[in-house]
Amino acid sequence: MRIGFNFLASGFNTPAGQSETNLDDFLTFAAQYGASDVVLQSYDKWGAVPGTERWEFADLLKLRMQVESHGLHLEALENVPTAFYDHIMLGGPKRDEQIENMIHTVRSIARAGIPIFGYNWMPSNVWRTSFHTLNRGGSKVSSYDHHEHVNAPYTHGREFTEEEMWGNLEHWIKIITPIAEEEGVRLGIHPPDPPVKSVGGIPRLLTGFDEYKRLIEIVDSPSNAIEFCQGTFSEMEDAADGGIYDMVRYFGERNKILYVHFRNVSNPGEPFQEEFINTGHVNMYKMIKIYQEVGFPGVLVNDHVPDTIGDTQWGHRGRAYANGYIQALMDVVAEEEATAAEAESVSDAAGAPNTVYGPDATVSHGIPLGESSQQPERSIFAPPGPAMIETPNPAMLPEGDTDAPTDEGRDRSTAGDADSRETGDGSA
Amino acid sequence: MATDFNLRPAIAYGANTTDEALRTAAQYGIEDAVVYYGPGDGRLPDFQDYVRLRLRFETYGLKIIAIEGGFSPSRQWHDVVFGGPRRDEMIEQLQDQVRFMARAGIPIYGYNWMPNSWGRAKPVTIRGGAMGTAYQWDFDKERRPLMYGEPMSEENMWDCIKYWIKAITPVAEEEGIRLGIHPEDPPVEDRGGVPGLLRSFDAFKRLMSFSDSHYNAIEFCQGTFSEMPGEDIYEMIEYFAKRDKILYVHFRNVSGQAPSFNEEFINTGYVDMKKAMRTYRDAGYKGSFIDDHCPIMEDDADFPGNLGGYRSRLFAQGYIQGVIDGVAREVDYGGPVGAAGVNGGAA
Repeated sequence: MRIGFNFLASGFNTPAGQSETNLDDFLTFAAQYGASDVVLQSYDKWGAVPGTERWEFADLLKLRMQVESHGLHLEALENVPTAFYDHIMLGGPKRDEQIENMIHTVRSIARAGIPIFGYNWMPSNVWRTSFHTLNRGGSKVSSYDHHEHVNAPYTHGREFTEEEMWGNLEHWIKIITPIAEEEGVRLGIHPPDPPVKSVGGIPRLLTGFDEYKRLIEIVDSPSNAIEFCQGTFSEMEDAADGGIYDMVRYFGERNKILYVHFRNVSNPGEPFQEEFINTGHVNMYKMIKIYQEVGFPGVLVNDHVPDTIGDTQWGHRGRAYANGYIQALMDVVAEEEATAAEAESVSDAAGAPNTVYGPDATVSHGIPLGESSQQPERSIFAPPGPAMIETPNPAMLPEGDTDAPTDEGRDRSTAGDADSRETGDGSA
Repeated sequence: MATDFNLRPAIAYGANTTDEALRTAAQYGIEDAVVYYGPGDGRLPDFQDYVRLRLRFETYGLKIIAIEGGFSPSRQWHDVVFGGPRRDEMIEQLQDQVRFMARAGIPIYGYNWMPNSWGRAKPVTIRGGAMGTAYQWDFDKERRPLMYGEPMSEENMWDCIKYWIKAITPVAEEEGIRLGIHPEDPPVEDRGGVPGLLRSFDAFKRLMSFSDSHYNAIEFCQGTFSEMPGEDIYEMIEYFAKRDKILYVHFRNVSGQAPSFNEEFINTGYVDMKKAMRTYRDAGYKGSFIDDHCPIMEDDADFPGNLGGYRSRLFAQGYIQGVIDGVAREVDYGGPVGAAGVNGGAA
């Protein structure tokens, strides 16, 4: 189990003043705070990876080399712009063309040496009803109350049915999985956040335990897996009564968890609010125990954090804190494992050595003085990233209905972070 | 729900700290504060100053669990440290200070016995280009002038500290405020002709022998104890925690022991912080852990009154809270518990 940070890599081409942090600054931050890995997103028009329809090998290779110049490992790319594959999700007229482009993108990612691609199945992205809900000590968190969105206008012109959405997903999974296998890259889907049945006319699809079982059974392959946003799984109704632990165990045992967004929320079901890592309903110590017990080999990133006084928009302070907390839990659990193993037997002959925990573990203790970061073993088994917020894509609107129906909804529903950055980006 | 061992995260501030720094603690789940204040250079605080200080912190939901300071680095108090002519008069002033703190509602006064204050030499680069303070005794020895023109007698200093402990402890007892001394940092035998008195396990045992009162105790800077040459940090934690001599803990880490060492990230030093926390837990220690010094990071904003900025400090806070939660919860999940059993060693 390793430590990572995730980050929206929009530093290269960002107009002055549009981004508070460039990619090199972020990578320095990640290295100093003890990460071995990073997960990068590039979904907006200033993204580190250029392209309006697909991504190219050379750009991705450059990105990986930049990460490695800081002694870090690029574990996964998270998300492509929604406009790369919205017709695939919704069965639009440009589906086949987008599939060709996405195959190209997946091959580019794989050949650039990035082991995991995480994406989502949310044509209308992440929804919240507030980014300013008061939390401990006057900190602010995002929250969601579905009552405020039951009457949201259609984001894509009409009501879509669950069955047609499943049909589109199955069509895609059956095409892309063999290609991903062939290329040695693992793909995984982030759950819809919030995991409500439907919003703005779009069924959210992967909203519970059974839905994820159905997804991984479409094609039985290591390349058909899960970008495990533990935060969103904790928001599911299925997370109640210990269900969250069952889900982690179930998918972890099947090696379906590519990487983890390790954050916490107030309760299962909605309304909910995001929380500090140690104040939500999930026992994070128990979670780390389970990841360790199922032999999860991947990366934990801290993901969203509450907005606290004096912090940056990205949340450097909050993320330093959450990352410290995660490292402590990993250290404690690793030590337990080592102690237990010692007590059990002196024989080292039997069984695979535990490289996840124990004295020789790849748990990050930072970079030893004068050495570069340990290079985690490059595996084809690596995962994807979390859904962040994008504006609905007007290209998906039915002919003649070019008036974006979503402006009103967007103000209230899409992420605050992205809002300021993406103002005016609706028709890009 | 996990068993509550009452191991508590805490944070330290200068007395003139800012609204932002105080609110940060409130937001990140910290309720205990240590404040650098008390008798030192210049004007002595009066009773009202201590009350105002406590009230200010309480408006942020913070409880002052200790005033931390030290009159010893200030030459104006050296008659107490080395036994000068005005010693008794000064001790009376310091007794008054202790009374003021106690009556203002401060439960602990932590101070030091370092006429040279604390010391560092050339800093080093640690993980990712962050900076950690460091000490090299050879380097320091070559450069530091004699403080008083000649080496000071170690035995005389012991006599003076004993005289002081016997004078101050009854006042602390009467007022109900616990006193504790910080170890010599760096724990080397001499700086500028002044012996580093409290630089070893034995020195602290000796200090404790001057009075077996509950009010004669230790400001347990684990960082400095772990710098002591040849000592076993876990043994010292267990020994003093079982005797209830640890008032609160400076929970930081270092690369190694004196004469040369550097400060490290909380989980990259040589001390196993999980093992340390389990030792406190199993020895029955109940109290607070401050993050103390933290590495200097890229792009960090200074945290007023301490070494290491906001991000660096919050990383350490996250780690401290994670270790506390982890070693508290593991008890309910079959994790390792010391031979003495949970709380088995508590007095």
